Amino acid sequence: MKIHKIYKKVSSKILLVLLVCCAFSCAELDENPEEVQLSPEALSSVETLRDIVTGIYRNTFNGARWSDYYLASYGGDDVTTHSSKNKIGFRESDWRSQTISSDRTLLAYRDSYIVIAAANVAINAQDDIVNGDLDLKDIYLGECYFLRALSYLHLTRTYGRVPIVLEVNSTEAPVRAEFVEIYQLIEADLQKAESLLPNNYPGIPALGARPSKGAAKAFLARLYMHWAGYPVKDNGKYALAATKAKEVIDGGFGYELSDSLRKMWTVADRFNHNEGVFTLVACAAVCNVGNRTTGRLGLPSTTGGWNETFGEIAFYEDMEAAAMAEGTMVRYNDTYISELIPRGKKPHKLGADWRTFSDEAHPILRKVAGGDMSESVVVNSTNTDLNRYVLRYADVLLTYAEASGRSGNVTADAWEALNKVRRRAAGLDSNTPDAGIDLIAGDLAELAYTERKWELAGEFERWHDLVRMERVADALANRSSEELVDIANSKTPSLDTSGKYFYFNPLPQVVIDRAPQLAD
Amino acid sequence: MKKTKLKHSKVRLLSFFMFVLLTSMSFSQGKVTGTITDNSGTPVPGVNILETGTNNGTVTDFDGNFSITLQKNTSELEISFLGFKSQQKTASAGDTLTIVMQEDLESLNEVIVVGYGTSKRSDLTMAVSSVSSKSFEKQPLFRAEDALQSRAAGVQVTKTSGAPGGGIKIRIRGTNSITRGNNPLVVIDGVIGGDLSTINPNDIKSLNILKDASASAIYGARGANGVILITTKKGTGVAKLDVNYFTSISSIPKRLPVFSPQQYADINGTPAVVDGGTDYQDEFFQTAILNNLQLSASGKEGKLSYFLSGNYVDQEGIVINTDYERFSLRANLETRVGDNLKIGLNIYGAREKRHNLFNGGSRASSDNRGGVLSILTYDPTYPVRNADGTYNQLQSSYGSILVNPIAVITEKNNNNINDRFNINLNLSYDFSPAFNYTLIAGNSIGHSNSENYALIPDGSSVIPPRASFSSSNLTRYQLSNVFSYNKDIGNTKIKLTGIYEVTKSQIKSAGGASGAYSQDGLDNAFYLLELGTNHTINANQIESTVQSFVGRAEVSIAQNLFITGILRVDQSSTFRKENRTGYFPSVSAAYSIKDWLPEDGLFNNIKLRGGYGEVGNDNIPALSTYSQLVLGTNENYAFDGVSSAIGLDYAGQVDADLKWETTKQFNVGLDFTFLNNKLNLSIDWYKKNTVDLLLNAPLPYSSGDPNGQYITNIGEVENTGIDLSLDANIIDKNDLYWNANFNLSTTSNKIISLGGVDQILVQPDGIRPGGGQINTYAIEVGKPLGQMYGATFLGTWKTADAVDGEVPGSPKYLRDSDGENVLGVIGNGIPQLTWGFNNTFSYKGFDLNVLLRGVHDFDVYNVTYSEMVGRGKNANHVDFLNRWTPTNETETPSVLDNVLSDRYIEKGGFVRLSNITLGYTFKNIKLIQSLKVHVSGQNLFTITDYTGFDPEVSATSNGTDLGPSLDYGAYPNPRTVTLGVNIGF
Repeated sequence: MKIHKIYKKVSSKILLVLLVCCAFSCAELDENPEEVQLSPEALSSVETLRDIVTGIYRNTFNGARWSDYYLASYGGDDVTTHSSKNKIGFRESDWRSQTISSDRTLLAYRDSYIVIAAANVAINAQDDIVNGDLDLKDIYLGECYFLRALSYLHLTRTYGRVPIVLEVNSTEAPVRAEFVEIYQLIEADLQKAESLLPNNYPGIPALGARPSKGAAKAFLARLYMHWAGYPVKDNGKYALAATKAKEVIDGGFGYELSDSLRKMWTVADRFNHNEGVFTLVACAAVCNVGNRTTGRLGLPSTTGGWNETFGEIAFYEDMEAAAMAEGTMVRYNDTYISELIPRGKKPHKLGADWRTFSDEAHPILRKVAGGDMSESVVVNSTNTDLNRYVLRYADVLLTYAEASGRSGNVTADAWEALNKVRRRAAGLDSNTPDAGIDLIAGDLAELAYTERKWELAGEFERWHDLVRMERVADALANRSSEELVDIANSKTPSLDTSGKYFYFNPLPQVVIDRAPQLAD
Repeated sequence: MKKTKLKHSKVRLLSFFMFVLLTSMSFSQGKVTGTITDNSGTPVPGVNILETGTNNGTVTDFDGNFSITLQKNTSELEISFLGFKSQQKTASAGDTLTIVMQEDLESLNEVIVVGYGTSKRSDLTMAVSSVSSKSFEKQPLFRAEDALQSRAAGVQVTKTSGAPGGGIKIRIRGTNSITRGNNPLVVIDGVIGGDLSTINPNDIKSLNILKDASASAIYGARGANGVILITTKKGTGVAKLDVNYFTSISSIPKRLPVFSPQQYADINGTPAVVDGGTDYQDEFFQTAILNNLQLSASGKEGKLSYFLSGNYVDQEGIVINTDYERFSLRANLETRVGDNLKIGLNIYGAREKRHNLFNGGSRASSDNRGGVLSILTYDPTYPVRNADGTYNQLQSSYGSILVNPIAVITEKNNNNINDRFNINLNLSYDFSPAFNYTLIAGNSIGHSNSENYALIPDGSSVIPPRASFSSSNLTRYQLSNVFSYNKDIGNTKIKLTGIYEVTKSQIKSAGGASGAYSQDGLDNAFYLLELGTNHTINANQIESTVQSFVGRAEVSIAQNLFITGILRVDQSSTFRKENRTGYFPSVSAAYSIKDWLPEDGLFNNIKLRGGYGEVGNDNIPALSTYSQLVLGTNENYAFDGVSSAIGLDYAGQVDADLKWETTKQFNVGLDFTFLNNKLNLSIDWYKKNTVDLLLNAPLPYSSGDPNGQYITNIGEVENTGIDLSLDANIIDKNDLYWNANFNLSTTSNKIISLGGVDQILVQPDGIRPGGGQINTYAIEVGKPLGQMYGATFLGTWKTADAVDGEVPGSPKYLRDSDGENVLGVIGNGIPQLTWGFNNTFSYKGFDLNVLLRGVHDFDVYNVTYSEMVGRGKNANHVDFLNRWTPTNETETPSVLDNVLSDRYIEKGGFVRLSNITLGYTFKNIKLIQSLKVHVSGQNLFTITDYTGFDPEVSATSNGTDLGPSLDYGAYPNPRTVTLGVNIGF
């Protein structure tokens, strides 16, 4: 009764309001994720796979564009850094005196696993990918295996035993795998890539920008060189390395030596050669995603440089002596800068002779500072368009020569592979035999190993050669008296091969904090 | 309600009658005249004047004047008016009286807004702090947060940045959540989700802070961090126009002792000093001017009451080329339709514009290494500019090695424009005297635009100019249906409230950026993005909906015992169906022993309160429970080096089973009123446990998760503390008046569990002062939040240590048996004790407001200092002059090193003169009702041992307490002197 009375009093306005309220009483509470984002289930088409592969390239380059990614390689005798400033992390690797608290040890680890996780997403979804151009599906999947293998190879070459992660969103606590397990995984991935990738990747700006079957073989050869050397030392793998390298040489993939080493490290000619077997392409000018291991950071502070990556003095002197003796001065001059550095209004241009530099004088590497000092977009920047050659054809040739020598299968082809590289070093046509430079006798393995030293100087490869042959201590002992010690801390490189982190970088403390079972 | 209204009209009628009667008798004997004003000298119209023992009375007119003809020769006059203390005055025929009414600060009958209704202070069962406009209106202020600072126990307001329009951190009773937001919920005139920074403080009538869960449970899933309820002004009485204007001058409170350019060159071995070098503190900081104009008109015409206001603030930053502006307009209207229906409409529009202020306005550089930090470590040996005005050199290999900070800030044009438009309809209908229905329909529309042009972008390398433009639209509505029912049964009063509410918000945004322009010399290219060769674009939509059902029962028995029970049920779209519904109950009770106290004893009242409640925190982004693939420019890759192909990426792990974070709180409080109601003391003790934390749990790096963490419900945090508030009318004589309010809060925070791990190390906000691998803060089980993390500094290695292979002069740290530095907790950045002491004095036309505040028991991580004394950079602090040498083996290392340690931990405690304002009110001025001039100072002095700019500031954001009190180039609070005038018409 009472309620009835109340209702009578209610004006039509109030009724309206109540109606409005009732209209909202069934609020929509379910979210609609598809409206604004792509769910992983979208990975059912080749187009989505293609885009994920592009993302994996970007992830790979996100790591590989920084010097920290190559931190272990500062231990090589070809490169060094500044004593102090913010370069202590590089210095500690240079001298193999790292600890778990050393700086800059994280990036290669973190960024490699980011690549692996994205590759795992694609690889594990392959059975669901049923829509689109299925011919392309194989190629893209091949690239996923290829890039995952490269990341694991980089991880194990940098840190030694690392966890193997093949699942996405895994809740399992990571544990360190054995070296052989890691090598087997890389081998399996590269073999899958080898079978899935085409002989010639269609529509790329230059060979090497995306991998061919040949690129997978080349990395298999690199893997086998490590497998045969330290720490597993399975010598039988040298023959496999030689076989795979030979398949690259003979496979008709189009790789050939560039006519000039120097121009490969210029922006103008970065695509004008066929030497890149696998190359990460920078996009500094347009996308602001450049190669940050190059340019100004290879110059000393007196030219406004970043003091990050320099040449080591003993190596420089040895290379100069070898080049003069062997007639490979062209390569020597393509490796070190001897001209004026056209930088800085105040102070004025830096003199040609690095020995006159005031702040920790070191030779300047052309592969870091830039192949052509007149390319101001390189010399004036720390974010350049220079290519990052992950593996180039000269490496394949020398791997073939060295692996042939070490597996006891020395052939004329193997000598020819070595001589091709030497001819270019001498400024000759690499395909035309020349008695003045060609070698036909001697210890092919060691000759090729030494040739790699000069040919790949400053490319962060030398260190891995030293490790696999356990020659780090010898290399570090060979120091010029001019080489600067760390004046501030009066430290010198460690020569203790039994050191915990002598051959491999420590996993950083931050990694251990999140996964204590990974501690040494 | 009806009764009071009736009483009012009776009084009015009576007064009118008297008035007519008395004026007709104006030639009679015994006439007394006078003027009645308030404290500030403003005439008070409508004051009742009654000759005691008679029916003879009158009311003051528009100008506060009255005239009464006494029935006796000498008589007592009783002077009374709502909101003021009643007074007795002896008057004789022929007297001319000047009477100053004192505002009634006795808060017993104060009406407290408690969410979906009000309660009398005397009936409160919960811990609610109340700040009325009276307590801050004497201080010139233009930010609502300033009104809150140090005026309410348990509410900590920290100005973590001195940037204009900069971020302000508010914590109510400590920090509940570790990685989710800890900002309190702001409710303006009943509408949830307000923004304090956009509000004109002059519009605020009161701020009520729901502190304990038994109070904030009414806001359920959003109430865990406490609730700030803002009520804006309504018009009353005769029409009134107020114009307030003030201007102020701000400057940096102090300068840090850096090297002269010559010292820098000598010590760091740079090339020779060019043209005397540069003083970067001089170049970067400026004396800043602020102008603030407020206008308001209010009054009541018939049934319509109105409050209209406008405000304009223009605040320059103390950093060059930075500025903050705000315009706002408000109209609050309320009218009655018939006897039962009341309709109110509040409209508020505001525009804020921030110029070159980043990160929510908290700093003047887009790069956290830039700005203040960069000027203190930049190579000072060459001039910023050449004689022709061009930049001398944009980068140096010494010092910060970043792009010159003066060039960056000078050549930057970043504008953040934020428009807010709120409409709030409030409709209240009395079905019967007992049964009321109220509808709150709130609609908020926000639009923000960000346009950014950097001719010389921040960072560690000189890159081409870059511009961006982005825009976002917010629409939010709230519909609250509130039913309330009152019933008195004997001396028991019952009030029941039922609420059904839906809130929905939607943000649509889009933006683009480009750089490396095809044309040179473009200015402010954010409107010319098309000319850039490097484009990025984005678009997004974020939606969330919450549906709620609330019930509240309030019972009072014999005005002694009060009981409140609340249950709120919230359903949020942020969670999946299974976890969507949250139940948030609370119960609280109060008991007053008023009746047991002797009538004329020391105590007038003692009230005991106690309560328990549960509240939630749903502060996670929409779609947090759905996995996705990342799309965006950062996934793209250019196979040909020039044209990006579109890329996608793994977005990381998600927990589909997320649910609310729940805070359970006990509160016990005591309220004392004593010394003739002159003194009010409240003490509260609380214990809060936050469980099922929505924690950013770290993932192993080998997971390859791009975020390195994911949100999941694990862990528990406990907070305990005491809030004390004392309010006293110390002196209350005719001419002299002194009111003092003292409040004090302690908080003690402890992490009970992190769901299995003992410690999570963090680099808050991606600030990485030691490089990517050095964590600066630790979250540790059994310890409070805000723990600073690092090595333990033991001075320098001495010459005698060289035999052990140590380098003399190099820093010495505590090491473990492996020779590694021992890393651990070295300080804590969350203050444990805060207090505020607010004094208002008035003497004749003068009034004085003094606000002192103290913040104690916390450390500051002075990373700025570490970089100045040579951590990873060239030294630039005079302390380095006292470095170790072979002949003077001091404890200041002589070499650079990268270690962050307790060497840089400093005590942060401070006492600050937050505000001092002296005002004078002129009387008897023609044409205007009141005129007041005032001069004031803010931050005039700070007593602290801290050696940096300002112990209050932090470079980390205000949402969480992962990294409190981190001085990494934090923007200091300025010292300010203000002059102003208030005119009433």
